Amino acid sequence: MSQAQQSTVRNRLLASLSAGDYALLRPHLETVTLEVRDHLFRADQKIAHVTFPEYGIASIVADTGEGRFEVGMVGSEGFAGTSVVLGIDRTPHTCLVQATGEAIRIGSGELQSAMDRSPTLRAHLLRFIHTFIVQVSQTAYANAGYSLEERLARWLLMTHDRLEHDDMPITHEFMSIMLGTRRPGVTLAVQMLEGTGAIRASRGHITILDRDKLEHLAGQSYGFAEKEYSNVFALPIKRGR
Amino acid sequence: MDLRYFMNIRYRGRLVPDSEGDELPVEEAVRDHALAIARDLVFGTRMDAIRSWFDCSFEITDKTGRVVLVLPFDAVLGEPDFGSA
Repeated sequence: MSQAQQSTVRNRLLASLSAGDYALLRPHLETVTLEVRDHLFRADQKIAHVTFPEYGIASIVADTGEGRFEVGMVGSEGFAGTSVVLGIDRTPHTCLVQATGEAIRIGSGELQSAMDRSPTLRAHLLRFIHTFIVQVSQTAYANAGYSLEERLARWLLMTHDRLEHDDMPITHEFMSIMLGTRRPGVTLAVQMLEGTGAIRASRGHITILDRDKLEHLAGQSYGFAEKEYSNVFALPIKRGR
Repeated sequence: MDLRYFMNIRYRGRLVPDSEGDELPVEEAVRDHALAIARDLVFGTRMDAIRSWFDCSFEITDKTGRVVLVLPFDAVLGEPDFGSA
């Protein structure tokens, strides 16, 4: 158990809780490391913990048997395990670590007890779930109406928002799972984005060179969910340039 | 033995190399693998940079650089089953 001081917490939801609500959680908080491809929960199995990333990224993935693709992404702006807050202890989706980091987690039962004691704690976490639903809805919108290049630009921006550096160790294979497409399609899209000067690609690495250009390429597929988060929490999610 | 095949794509004369490759159990599996990918791209993926997937071909190489198979994407339409007696 780390029982971290609220003033040193980097997860923005935990950091913005009232002191009283944080004190309710604090005895049950535990610091864990996030390693790439670690599972935070698995489809249809009981979600043991709700995880608040301090840094690093977790992906919520639909695994259909015919293929896997990402349906949601969370970093230090939120938490993984939204169903627990909604009173459901399992989900058909899987959650795995996409970028190495650290997190603070709490047992699902402990969090539910704390929410039962504090309506303001529950309301705070529900506000995040609203913004997460907006993110997932925007992903559906992007999948329906946007080209692979635009969707890749959006995904890279969302990933960049949740990291503290511009260099991302990601393979085309991984991006193809995240975008629900075939790897050669991602290879073509990466080459196209690189040709505009927005990114630099080398084997297993993508570096963001020009966020403005990437936002221009992503068009309206990026920005709505990020604006909604900022409106709800009065905290920016988009990274500066 | 590492049977890794690189799914390079030629589009309107330009070759876009695949640096990662896919592992397959035997070389005979390359054609079906390529057809399945081409089918998903042709029927399920919209790209701004590719006006028509039928202008693309796979030029699949092994790790020595040997070209194992050239497969135009219109192979997904199958062999014509009409026009013969």
